[in-house]
Amino acid sequence: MITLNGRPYPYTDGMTVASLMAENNFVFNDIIVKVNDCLIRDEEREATAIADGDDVKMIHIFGGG
Amino acid sequence: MVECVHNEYRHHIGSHEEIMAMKAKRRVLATYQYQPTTIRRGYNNRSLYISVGGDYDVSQQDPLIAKVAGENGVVIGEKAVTEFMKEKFTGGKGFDLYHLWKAVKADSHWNDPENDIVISPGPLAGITQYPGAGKSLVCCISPTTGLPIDSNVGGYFGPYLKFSGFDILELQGKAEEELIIVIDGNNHTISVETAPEEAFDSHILGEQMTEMYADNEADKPNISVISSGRAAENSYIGILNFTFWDKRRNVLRLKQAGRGGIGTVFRHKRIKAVVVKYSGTHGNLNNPLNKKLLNEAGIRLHKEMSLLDDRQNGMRHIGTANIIEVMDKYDLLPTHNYQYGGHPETPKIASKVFIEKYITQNVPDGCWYGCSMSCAKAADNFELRTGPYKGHKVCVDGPEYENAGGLGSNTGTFDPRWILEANFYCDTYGLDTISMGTMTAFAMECFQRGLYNLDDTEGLDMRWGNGWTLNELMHQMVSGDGFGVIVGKGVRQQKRIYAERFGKVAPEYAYLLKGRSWSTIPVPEQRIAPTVNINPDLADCQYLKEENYDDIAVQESIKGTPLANPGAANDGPFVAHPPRWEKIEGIPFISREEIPDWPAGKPYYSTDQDCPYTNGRPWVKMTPEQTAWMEQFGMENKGLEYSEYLMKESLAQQGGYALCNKGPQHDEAWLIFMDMVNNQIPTFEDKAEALHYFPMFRTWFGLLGLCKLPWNDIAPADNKYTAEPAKIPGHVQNYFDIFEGVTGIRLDEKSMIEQSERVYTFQRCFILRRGSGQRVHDMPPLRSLGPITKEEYLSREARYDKQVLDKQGIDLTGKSVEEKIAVIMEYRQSQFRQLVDAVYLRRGWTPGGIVKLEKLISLKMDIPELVATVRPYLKAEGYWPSGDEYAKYETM
Repeated sequence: MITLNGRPYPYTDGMTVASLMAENNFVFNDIIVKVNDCLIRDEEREATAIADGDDVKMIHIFGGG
Repeated sequence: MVECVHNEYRHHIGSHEEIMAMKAKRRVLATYQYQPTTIRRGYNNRSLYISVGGDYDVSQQDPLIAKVAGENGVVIGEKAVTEFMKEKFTGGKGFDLYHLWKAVKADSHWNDPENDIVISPGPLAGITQYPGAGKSLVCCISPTTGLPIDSNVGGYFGPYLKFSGFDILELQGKAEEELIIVIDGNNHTISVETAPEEAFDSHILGEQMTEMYADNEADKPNISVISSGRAAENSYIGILNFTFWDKRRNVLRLKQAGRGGIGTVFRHKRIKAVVVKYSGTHGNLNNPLNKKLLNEAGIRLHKEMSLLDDRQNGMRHIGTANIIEVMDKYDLLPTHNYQYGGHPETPKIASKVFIEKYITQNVPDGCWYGCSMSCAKAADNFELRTGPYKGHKVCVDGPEYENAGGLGSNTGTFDPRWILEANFYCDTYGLDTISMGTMTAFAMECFQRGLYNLDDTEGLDMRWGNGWTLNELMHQMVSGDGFGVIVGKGVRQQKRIYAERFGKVAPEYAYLLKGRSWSTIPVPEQRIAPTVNINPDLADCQYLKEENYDDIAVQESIKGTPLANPGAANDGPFVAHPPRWEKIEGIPFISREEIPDWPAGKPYYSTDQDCPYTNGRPWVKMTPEQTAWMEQFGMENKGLEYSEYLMKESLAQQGGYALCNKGPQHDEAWLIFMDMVNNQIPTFEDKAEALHYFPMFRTWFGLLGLCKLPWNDIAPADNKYTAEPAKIPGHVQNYFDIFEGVTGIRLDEKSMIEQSERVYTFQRCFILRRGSGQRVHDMPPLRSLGPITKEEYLSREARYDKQVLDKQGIDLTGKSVEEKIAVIMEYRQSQFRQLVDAVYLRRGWTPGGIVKLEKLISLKMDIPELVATVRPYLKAEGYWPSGDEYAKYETM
């Protein structure tokens, strides 16, 4: 189990930042990604593995409305 | 007249000679010569007051310091903008509400002559150094809510009004005949003139006025016009269009003060247009105290737009419509009257479709000088397929996201051509695209659910996705004839009218019409009341049973009627919808003239025998269950239609909508992503803090004359490293700088929020004075909280079941769908009540929603009118404070 945006989320083997975003349909352009409080750059998402127990934050900076 | 690609409608506008002949037929009712002034630190320190006639009490208003009285009761004059006003209300919306309060009584109706349309651009409006600084704020008593409404709008009018010498324009009274008001900011004259021949619809009238008052082609950008349109007269959702001349397209552009029916009030006053002319615009007309601060802040934002917009929101490419497909992906795009948050056909109306097929791009498209965000998009040479301008190639301002969401997905219309056509007609007829979308969606769902039938609509096919119908409703609002007139009254009035008229018809009733006897009309199945399961523990919570979900009854009712297939019209050839009645057999037709509107204040009639207005048609009340059912999915609060975001999965957004002073418009708070996706505000206290800060922060734009979009639709590259990225701290600093640059006053976050809080609190007291503003008025329709029908639940069954297990610890296995929905909704209603408690506490209000006296004192808003307004409510609720320091407030 990992934590995604403060909520428990099932961990799967081989999970990366990019795959987690795809699983959740996180398609918005401006998303801040942090894994255990470390900022993950956009170009690092494919290669950044997520481990069981990690605390992941995917914060959408969405103006909207 | 210059040659133009839009010449298909030019014959409606007329030649230059014809337009000048119109002008020659006018009669001047009053003229006023005023002294020029210089703007000092953002203010002229005076307002322009115009009464167009009528008899009403002005004793509570600020005195006119100079005035002229003309024919037909027309008065033109000036009022002072005092230090008191600037300290308490800042400008913009604050000034508007201040004057509106003094103009109307607690029980003034929207169509009473004292209703005051107040327009104020704000002390920062007109600067060209910082993007988005051309906004005007408009207020009046709304026809849809009966409350003060505020709406912001771009275009050149506000800055030109200010450069002409006035911080505020008040329009009061009711004219005896159609009028046009002309403000000449260079010659310092104002005139009120009769206008017997000019057009009504904005795309024609605006061009006529521009042609009439421009000295030559180069002078056209110096003209700005306020107008509405013909449909505003027969609906409650009229808008005001504010124009600017688009030199690149060589066409007039329209920006809208959209919400709450201000255009309806404008037309009721019989004002056709307000024209302002000002030449000589440059960046320093506000006489800013510190230009360097202004310039540096502007340059920072211009650089961000240049470097970052392409990979952030693409505002320069498609404006707010960039989020259509994003909303769909996150299950937030309202479809079919907010039943769902996405739809498989959304790609047909995605932003790239508009960009590639319709929007003329590669030109800056700002609605005021200096705006590098340039999000005001337009579709040139768009050919219309319906209505009086059928076949014309016109310029459509849009689509904004709200137009695509409201006129498109929420009505099940996934055809960009119908969306653009509806967008155009909304604008030129003077209709609010958001309300038009939401109230059409409500009407369509009532049709889907069998709450009325084709004979109620006079044959208009109200099935989802019928773009022809969407536009036909507006044409009917112009003619004042047909079902569109009922729809045009808004969701709240639709519910009332349906409840009173569209009940079950006695099967044996024989129609008698136009002197002809009709055979007995079989009762369509959909007229029969749906079976509703009422949960007595939840005051307004009923759920449909399975047998009522399908629309077989609706299908049956139109059996044999050759209707266009709405779904087929997306990219294929246009399929013409048959005109009303021509191909529908066996359904009685009664024209609108024969069925006057249900008179206000009349008692209910259970049969035509009792009712003097039926002309042979039975108007029968719906059952209480049907009426209560409509309350659940009629998406309005305080009488205003919801704007176009699905809020079911964000408690904070549910509150952001329902706790909004004017009704559910998202400009107060838009917290969906912070709450639902990011989970940044997990506790009630967190949400309450957000529902304090963001509404106050967003209110500030409306006080100053600024657009909200440059705040958070572009973000600095380093924003992600800040402590509170949702607030865009770098841009908040910009606002401190530009405010200081113009006024010389340095703000910090606390003083900025307090500026807003004073006006926000004043508005809360204002709506209390008008009979709203208590807890009961902040309760939303049940659908805004979650699934109320089987389809809604089943469409997201796994999500809902998991939520219940995670949050409530309840395993729903084995329960019926109705039982599951009841469990979900009971919990969500409880959550909403707790949220309201937390927000009221944070805002300094009682649990009943009343502003506490201590809050008024802390904001220095303990002025007698407000104290007197809240006092009886505070005493009744037991929140009137004791102690000698409060004694003086007993007699205020």
